[in-house]
Amino acid sequence: MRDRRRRLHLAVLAVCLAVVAAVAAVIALDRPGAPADFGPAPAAAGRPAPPQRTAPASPAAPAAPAGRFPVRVSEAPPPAADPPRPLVLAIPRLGVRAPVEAVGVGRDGQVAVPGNAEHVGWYRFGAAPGAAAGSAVVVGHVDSRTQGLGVLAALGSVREGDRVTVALADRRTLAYRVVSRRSYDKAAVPLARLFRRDGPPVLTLITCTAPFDPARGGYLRNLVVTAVRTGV
Amino acid sequence: MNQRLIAAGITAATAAGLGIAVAAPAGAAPAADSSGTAMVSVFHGVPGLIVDVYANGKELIPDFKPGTLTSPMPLPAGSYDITIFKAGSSPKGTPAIEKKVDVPAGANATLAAHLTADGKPALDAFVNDVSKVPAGKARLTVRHVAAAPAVDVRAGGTPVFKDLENPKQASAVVDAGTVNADVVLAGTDKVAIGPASLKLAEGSNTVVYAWGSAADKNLALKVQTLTGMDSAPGGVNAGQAGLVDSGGQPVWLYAVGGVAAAGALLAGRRLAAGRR
Repeated sequence: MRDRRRRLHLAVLAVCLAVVAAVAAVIALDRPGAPADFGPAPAAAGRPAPPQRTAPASPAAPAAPAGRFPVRVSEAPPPAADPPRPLVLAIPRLGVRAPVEAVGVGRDGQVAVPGNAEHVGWYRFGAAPGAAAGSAVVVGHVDSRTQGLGVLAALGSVREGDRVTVALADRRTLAYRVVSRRSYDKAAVPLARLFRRDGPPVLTLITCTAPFDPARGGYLRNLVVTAVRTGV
Repeated sequence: MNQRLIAAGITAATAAGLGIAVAAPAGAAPAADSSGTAMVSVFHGVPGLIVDVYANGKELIPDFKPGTLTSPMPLPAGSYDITIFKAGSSPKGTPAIEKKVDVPAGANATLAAHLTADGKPALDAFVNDVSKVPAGKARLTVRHVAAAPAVDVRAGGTPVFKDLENPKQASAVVDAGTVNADVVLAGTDKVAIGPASLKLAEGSNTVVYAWGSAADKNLALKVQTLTGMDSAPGGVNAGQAGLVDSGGQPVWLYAVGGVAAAGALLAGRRLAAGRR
């Protein structure tokens, strides 16, 4: 009787210690701060220089440029048609499958993240997924006061090489491969790079990440995952 | 002379009297300032007259039709004597329009051949404001180059620009999106042009020319879109609750760990007590 109770206590002790050890290991392995960075930092891409017609050989004489002029009566082209909009973002290994809303900016000039924490928002003023150039930005909540963990909380577990897909309104599905994850202090997020409208086409996923400090406005860092096209 | 008055995001600018005398706004022209070029577009807003455009005696644009607007072309900075002749006629004769225009390096400008308020052909140079706009915004510019009196420009029935006279322009930074615009005689509801649906693309300057002649009943709008003025948004706030801890792990993980630790402690104490 006494032995049985002793064995039970021993078993409970062992299980509890194992759980404590496992939790400690998970936490320890993930230190410090936000999820670990991997892959290259998001690239800058300066605007390509506009097509320049070379001026006549003599660069001097600025007062009265002589010689050939670029004779061109090309009527200015009409604005391009809107690209097909993204509908669903998925990261199969992490079980992420989120409807995509087209979002703009709020009154505060920040991206208007969808109120539904299960949805993600495509920044509609920037590049669209599938565009020939630029960073297509998709944002999503890491968590919400009323809805718990958000769909992009999974970005903390993303690995290099993870497959990401974006289904478009024209029924195509674009496939991407994760190449990097970075976290930035919110005051130091390279916004001009993340939201660039030219340069190599990438998919940029942005959410929030630890540390969390309610006194300083909540999450102090942004988590940025970059993915590139792998063909369809 | 150009004047640019900027007040609370609204720019009221006067078309050049003697040419482009104002350097392009800072950070403006993507055209390389260093290489001494300017980006110049040309708009033909004189109804019923096909022309050849000459710069310093060299043909710049042959057979230029009314209502046509060229793509921006890089021109070496400098002073240009612009002469415009009826298409096919000898450039030795008297031009239909003549004007000396100074094109400073780095400028982005549109030359507009148009009618004056009383219907005479004229040439004016407008500096295109290609400075950055905030994320989500667009710049709207209206240029009155029609043989018509002063006008108000309305968007969705509300006047945006009031009392605009030929050959002046008015500009404002507004929310990007599509607006329903029309042009009315200043201070009245008498529609002179429109309504027209204008797509104001984010990060661009949509320049609308009101051109033609009221007397000839051919008033019209021409739209020029200049892009590349976009800015990144201010940031991304995508979390509220602190459910993700500093290790990037959810808080429940800590809860499990805590419960397990308490269980271990309890079991340990029971064991120790059992030994006694």
